[in-house]
Amino acid sequence: MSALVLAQAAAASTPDELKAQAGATGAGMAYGLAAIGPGIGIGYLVGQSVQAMARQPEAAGMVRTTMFLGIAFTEALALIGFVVFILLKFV
Amino acid sequence: MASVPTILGVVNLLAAESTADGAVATAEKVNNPILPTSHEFFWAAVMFVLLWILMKYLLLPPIRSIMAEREQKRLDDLAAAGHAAEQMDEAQQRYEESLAGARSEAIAKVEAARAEADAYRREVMAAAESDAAATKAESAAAVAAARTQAMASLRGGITDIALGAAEAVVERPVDRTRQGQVVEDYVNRAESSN
Amino acid sequence: MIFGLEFPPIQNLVEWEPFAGDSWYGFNKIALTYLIAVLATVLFFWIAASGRQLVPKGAQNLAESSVKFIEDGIIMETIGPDGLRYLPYLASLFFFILISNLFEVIPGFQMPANARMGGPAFLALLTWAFFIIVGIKHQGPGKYFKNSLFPPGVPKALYILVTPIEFISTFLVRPFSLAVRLFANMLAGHILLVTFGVLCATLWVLGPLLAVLPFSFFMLVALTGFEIMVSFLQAYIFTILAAVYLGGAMHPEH
Repeated sequence: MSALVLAQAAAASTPDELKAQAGATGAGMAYGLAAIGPGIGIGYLVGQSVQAMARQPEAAGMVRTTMFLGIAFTEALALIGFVVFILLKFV
Repeated sequence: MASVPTILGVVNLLAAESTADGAVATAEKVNNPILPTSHEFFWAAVMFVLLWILMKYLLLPPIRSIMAEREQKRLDDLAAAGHAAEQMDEAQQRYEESLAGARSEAIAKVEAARAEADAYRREVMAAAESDAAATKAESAAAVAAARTQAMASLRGGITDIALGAAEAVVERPVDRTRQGQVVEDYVNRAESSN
Repeated sequence: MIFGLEFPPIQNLVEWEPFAGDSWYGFNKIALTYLIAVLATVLFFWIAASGRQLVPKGAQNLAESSVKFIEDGIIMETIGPDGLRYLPYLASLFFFILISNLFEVIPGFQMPANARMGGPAFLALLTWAFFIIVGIKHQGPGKYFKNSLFPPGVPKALYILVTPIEFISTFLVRPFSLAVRLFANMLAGHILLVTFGVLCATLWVLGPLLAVLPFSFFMLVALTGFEIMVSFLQAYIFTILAAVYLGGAMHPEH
């Protein structure tokens, strides 16, 4: 519906419409911004893990476990951004 | 929502069916999509605890017991394999020992044969050498005999010729026995100086 | 609405009316999914155990390798050999989450049960309570809270800073992040699939844009495969985090 709302931005006049408009804009911004940091973080994390595994293939199992843990922690930020998106957009 | 005549998404249709009142009626009171609802929480709790209990007392034990059994068998087999390897090592050692014994025996036999052969060869050579020495001595004796004979006949001839020559020079008979002695001495001297 | 594309409101995507019952015990599609997850796990292990032999094959092989995966890949890597006693809990978590996640792509259902907060919230709270109980049991109540709130080896003055952070991260953020991670991943995947599904359905009827349909459909298929991987990964991550928290409660030095 956000596109619909944005297309009619000029016509939005009632408080509800304005709120929906601001919410949709804010939702897109929230998720977009929240995805930047974790994107960089996960990329760096996996890159370093691949390097570690390539240097020491015998430690690959341990590195992989730790890598998934790190991804889980890093990803949490993006997911909180996604939750904020849902809150702004649909509630 | 229903104002659009085109096909809605499948999900939309199903959901419209399942929410009997329709989205429009509940539009005023929108449930927060990120908060847990009590009935879903309740059923998740019931089902998970059920699974946990089943897993603990019914599902895992047979699988784990067979895994433990296999692990035990693996360890046993490993031990048996280690034992077999030990036995094999022992057998190999025994075999190598016997091999070494046989080898030394063979060497001794070869040595003995070689010694025997040497002895025989030496014997044969000694016999051959003694034969050769005998033959040589015989032929040397024959040569010496022939030589003394030749020398004696030569000596007699020389004495006669010398005495004849001396009689012709002095024109009277010489004492054959005395002068013969002189010639013979001379010849003997010449022979030894030769 | 763009080009006749109408995205359904989110209530239509994730809320399901109960088949039977009402209020707090209403049995709806989500509860049915959880029930099927339990039944499928039981059936799987029952088949695996019924014809068990020393040399595994078929279902037994699969069951054994998944148990082995949880033992070696999760417990041994994070807790150690003394964590093997929590295998039933962690295996239940893994199978429960995995199967209820997989309903995201099973035709006819196509709704990950964990895209509703109920399940993840319960599992996270249970894990939270479980690791606190394990910590108290293994170290004693005083020692456990002292170790987790006042980590040894930190200068005394820093406790003003460290203790609130430790308290928030251990006792508040852990259950929250566990639940939100699983929930948001599944909800995001579900919305992604719905988006491409709606797009495909819309493109199918609109003449000129039919040319775009193959790309949209390809994305739908590719994302379905991706979501299968995400389902597995989220079950794995939830289980391994639960194991890490349990391990941390058992051995304070970790």
